Amino acid sequence: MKLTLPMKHPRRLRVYTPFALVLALVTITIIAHLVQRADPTDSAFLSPTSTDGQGASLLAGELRNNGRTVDVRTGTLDAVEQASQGGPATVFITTPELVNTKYLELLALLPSEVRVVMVAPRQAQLDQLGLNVTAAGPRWTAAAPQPGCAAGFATPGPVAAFRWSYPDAPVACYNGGVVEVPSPTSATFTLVGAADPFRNDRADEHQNHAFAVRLLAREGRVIWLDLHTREQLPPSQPPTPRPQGTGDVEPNPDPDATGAPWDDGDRDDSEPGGQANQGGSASGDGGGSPLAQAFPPAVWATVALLVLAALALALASARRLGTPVAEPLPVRVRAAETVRGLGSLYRRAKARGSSLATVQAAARTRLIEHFGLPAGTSVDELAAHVAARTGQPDNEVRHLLEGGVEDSDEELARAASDVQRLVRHLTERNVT
Amino acid sequence: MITRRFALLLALGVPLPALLPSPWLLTAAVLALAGGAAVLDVLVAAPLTAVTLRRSGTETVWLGGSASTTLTVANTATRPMWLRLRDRWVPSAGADATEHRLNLLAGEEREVTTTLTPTRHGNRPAVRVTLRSYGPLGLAYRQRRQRWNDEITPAWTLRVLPRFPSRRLLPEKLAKLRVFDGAVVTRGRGQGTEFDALREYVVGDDVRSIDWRASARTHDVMVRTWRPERDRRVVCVLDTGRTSAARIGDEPRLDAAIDAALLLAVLASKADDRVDLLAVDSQVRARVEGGGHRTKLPRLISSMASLEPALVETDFGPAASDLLRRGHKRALVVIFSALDAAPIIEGLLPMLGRLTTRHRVVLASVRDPETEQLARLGDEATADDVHLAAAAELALAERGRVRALLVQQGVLVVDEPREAFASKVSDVYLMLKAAGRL
Repeated sequence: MKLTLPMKHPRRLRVYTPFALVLALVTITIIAHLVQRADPTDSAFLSPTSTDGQGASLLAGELRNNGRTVDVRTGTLDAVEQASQGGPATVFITTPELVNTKYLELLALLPSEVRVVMVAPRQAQLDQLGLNVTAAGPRWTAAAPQPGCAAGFATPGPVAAFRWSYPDAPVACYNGGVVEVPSPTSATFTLVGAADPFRNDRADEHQNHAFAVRLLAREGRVIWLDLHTREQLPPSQPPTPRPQGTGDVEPNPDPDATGAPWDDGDRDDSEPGGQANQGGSASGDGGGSPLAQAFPPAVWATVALLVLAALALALASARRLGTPVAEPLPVRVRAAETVRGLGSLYRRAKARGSSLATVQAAARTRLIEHFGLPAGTSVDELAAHVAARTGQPDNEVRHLLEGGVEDSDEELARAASDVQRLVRHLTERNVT
Repeated sequence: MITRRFALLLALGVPLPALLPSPWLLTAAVLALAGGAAVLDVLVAAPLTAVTLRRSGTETVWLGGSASTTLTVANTATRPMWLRLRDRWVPSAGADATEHRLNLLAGEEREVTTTLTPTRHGNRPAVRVTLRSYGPLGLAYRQRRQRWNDEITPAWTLRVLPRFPSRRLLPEKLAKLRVFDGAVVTRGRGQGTEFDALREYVVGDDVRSIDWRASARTHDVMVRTWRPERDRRVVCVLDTGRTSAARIGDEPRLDAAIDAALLLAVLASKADDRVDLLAVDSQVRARVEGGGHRTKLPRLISSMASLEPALVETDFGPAASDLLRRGHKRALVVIFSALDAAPIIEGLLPMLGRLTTRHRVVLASVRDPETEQLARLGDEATADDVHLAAAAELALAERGRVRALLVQQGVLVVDEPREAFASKVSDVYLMLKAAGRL
């Protein structure tokens, strides 16, 4: 019914069609973008071992070729521990939004000889790190601005690093897409606004590859944090990192009785967009399904109530006020049904000869009755009788009354019509 | 059982968990509130056992007319009742509004009227009254099982009499009857064949009717007067087999036969003849014999009302043996059937000889104009039309042969289209009656 409605109103159809097309295009674009967007929880995302489009095996290979050690770690604690030992290093954090917020604080405690490169951190992570930088964006896709700065990693050409931007950082390159936050006492943070420069499939675009190599090859060691699941706090107390060689670093800004930074009771650590719950509240749900944790309880409660309301509606509609009553229908057959059936059989069998013979025999019977001739009158006698009245030649009338039919439908129709016309002509003329 | 209002109540509570803290607690509270209200509603709803039902109204209606039946619903409980009921009839009863809502105070009685416009003749029963008692909030209701509803439903059957369109011909046929009955002719008596009385000769009387013996006795010229035969027997045999199911125009052949048989029965009753009815297919479906003139006609009509075509071959054997039983005086047997070869030649023809020797037999068949139309080719005829015409010619030829066979056996054949059928059958009766050949 709804489908046929616009067809009944062509004008309405003309008005709606362009809007519907635009809406469909927008919907398809949004869906395609969502589907095509890189997913940090995908194990291939910026992984040094993945040759996938969104992997970063090219970059890792190039770093190794340049004589850098690429130390791949899958836990932040592990990476922090490695970075805090053994001198200068670059910690490359590909998925900062998956790093546990408590561990982010540890990153801020790393010694000053360590560089931390983060890919597209959000405002929440920046706040947690204690960096006085604001995150802006994101853009729909990454733009490729010119470097516009004299930093060591800056390339001569553009780099597709401008998706998120950090405009108020002390050292801003690529229009704010890549910024550096140096600190005399702790690690230097480099924030890159997009993952594109590191990806295999974008390595050839602009000067992405050169930029990534320059950025990460500044120190001899690259500690690559390849993290693809949201980090949970371990049940036991992790070791507190002790910066080596620098006695002037604050070990813990707010130490409590246990000395562990995650026991400070601050549970307001949720990220924007409801992506939290991996902190204190996760201890209550301990190992619950990710779907259950993805939405706040209010959503689940609303959904439950909606489902119950729908169920109640179904139940209320299910019971009828008495069942329908069945009644046997009377038999009704068209009286001429057998005649039509027999006609169809003749047609299917192409029984032109039989059909014409039957029509001619009926015509002869009518003429014999009409002229009052005896029942056994032969066709010749009848033809002569008819010819005498109509003035047609005998053999022509005889052919009309008894002749066969060639193998053609048109001839059958003509012959049968002719014989009936003859009968009507004779009988009706005489009556009038 | 809950209502849709209950679901609405739950739906109204949907925003609460999102707006206030402790969502699960609020969900539970919404559920508990709605559930508690529903339970309370059911408890307060008046019990269905307190309802009493009574029915009254029209019992008989002609097909094509409308009848109304009244269902009286009484609440014998001590609390008010919000009742919804459905008065179900068979679909062919053509009930207009079957669902009713009633608010009954304690001890109150209300009537609900259902107008029925039946679409078929026969018995059209009321099937079931289903009751539902709501609570005052309308959140929940009480409804019992189908069997319980069946038990409390007052039985009622509307008798739908068959369509009788040829009723309009009745005055004309009765006038004809009165003409040869002598009731209209003021001078002298009628021209029947049965001796009525002797009276003195007056100028203008037919000299052939002078009774010489009586004249000698009374020393005056006496003439005999005549009147039509009375107390003849007319037997309508209705074929309810497969051929009666064939639809001619908009109605089955049986309906046309019933219409014609009704006209004949009314006419014969008015002419003081006795009319019997026999409906047969593979078995005898209806039999109306004996009884007084006054009660006979309603019985006949009532029997015809329940006749339906059956998809079986008609066996005229039981009917014929019934008619051939000894003691039955000569009768006019009108067989309403079709001029089809199979039932007539195989079923009727073997006994036709004996039947025609004892009774005057008429075979009445409604002619289907469609066959004749198919047999006639137009100017734009195609080969398909010719094949159809050939099939139609075969059917017509077969009908002609059956007809010739019946006429040869001394049977009067009425083969007319629907419009003229009932009239023609009555005319044959009137003709036979006038000729004294009943």
